[in-house]
Amino acid sequence: MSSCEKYQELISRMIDGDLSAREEAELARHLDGCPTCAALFDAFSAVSRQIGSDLEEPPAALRENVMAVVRREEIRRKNRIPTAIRGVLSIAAVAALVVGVYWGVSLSQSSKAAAVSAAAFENGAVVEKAMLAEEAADAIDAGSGAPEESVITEEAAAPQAAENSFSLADSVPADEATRDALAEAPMAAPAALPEEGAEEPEDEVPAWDLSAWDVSLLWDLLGGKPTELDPEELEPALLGRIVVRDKDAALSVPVFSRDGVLYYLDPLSRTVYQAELSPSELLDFLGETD
Amino acid sequence: MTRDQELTVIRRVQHGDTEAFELLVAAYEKTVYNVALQMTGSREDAQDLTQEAFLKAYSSLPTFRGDSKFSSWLYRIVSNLCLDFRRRQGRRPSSSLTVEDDEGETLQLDVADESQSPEALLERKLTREAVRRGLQELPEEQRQILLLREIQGLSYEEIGEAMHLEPGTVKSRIFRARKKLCAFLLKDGNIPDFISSKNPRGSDVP
Repeated sequence: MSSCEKYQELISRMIDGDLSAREEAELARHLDGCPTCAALFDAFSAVSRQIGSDLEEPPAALRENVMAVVRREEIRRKNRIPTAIRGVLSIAAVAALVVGVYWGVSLSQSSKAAAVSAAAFENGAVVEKAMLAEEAADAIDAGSGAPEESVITEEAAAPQAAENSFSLADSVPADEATRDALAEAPMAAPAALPEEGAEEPEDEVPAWDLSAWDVSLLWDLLGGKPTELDPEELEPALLGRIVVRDKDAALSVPVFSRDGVLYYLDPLSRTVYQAELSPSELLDFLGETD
Repeated sequence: MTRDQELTVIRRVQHGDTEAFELLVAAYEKTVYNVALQMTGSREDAQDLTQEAFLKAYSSLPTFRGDSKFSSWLYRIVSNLCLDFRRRQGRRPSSSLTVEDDEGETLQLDVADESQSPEALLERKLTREAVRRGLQELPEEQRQILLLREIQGLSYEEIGEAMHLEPGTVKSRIFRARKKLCAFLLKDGNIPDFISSKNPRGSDVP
């Protein structure tokens, strides 16, 4: 009765509402004449109903317990900032020294290196990066366009640094002891960053200030799908940078226009996305919000 | 909560409104808890895992981009936590798991369905406990996928997203899970012999 195997799979899909009208009719015909499969259908249905029904209520305290740990986590996050700033800014200062050399190469970092950097930052250091970017945001307000680079360059420096076993970058992954040691290190002024930024050729490219927007709103606006494109390859097609808010920091998102298609780089994941909007639609939109 | 409302809540939390997260907890705690309960077979473990899952979701919320469904994303977290937990436990044999059902509740099968003859077939009551025992018998991935489908009601695509599987794989895994579960219930005496009596043992229902 091996043909029944085929119908049995259909029965499972039927319960999940996955059959076309034709398949359903075919199955119904079979069930009419096959008591075994008919019985299986009933068994599957009954079990399916049973599992999904009559769910238990979670204990009343569960929600409060969850919120209690969540609040504690939030407090813990906020308290980590002071030490982190010192550590990260000193890293950034040294990283800035290598930025100029590596900038041209950094954009073509392997995704693995980016992942290392991303992982290092994700480990609670998102806030640290945010605080660094806060400095950048202040500089943006001051009218200097260059520090926007600092968010990206710092990101870019870290993967390169990680790849070269740069000792400071090695310690970025939340090593408290090392971070404290770094905190002792002389803190170079954030002014070091704008200097590097000033060397960037992208100075002439427009920067659109949507800093009232949370970054997720920008993703919703641009939409689209990830691509395998290399950011460096798209560099000549750079249209400008959109500045949005990521938690408490400014995030600079480069957008590119090539062959009538709009792309953008997610600086956090270092992935190039193909947007759903066209370049002209975006420019119209930005023109209106000016 | 509609999907839009949910996205708004998520953005608020991403913006720093911690208390808004409670809305998400309220919306999903029951199903998360029940998935964890069926995955582990223990209420205590389910509570701990539910708490851990929501905490993890809260911590990772900055990385949630809204292009996939929040429920798929959340359920990936839950399932993986449960699987890791079970692995750490060393997968004790199901007999040592505690599935207490102090109410001793039995469910009268509601057979007001498509076919007529089932009424006779399914006289016996399918107890919640029996199905739970059967679920514990399933291999981890099969149990996990069946729970996502039956408790959380995720579609094949959403399950595929949550577990990084092709929809085709999802379909066949669910089918095999159901088949295995029914086979266990049959052995356990909770589905009438009718099914097996019509064909030689060991052919269609392994």
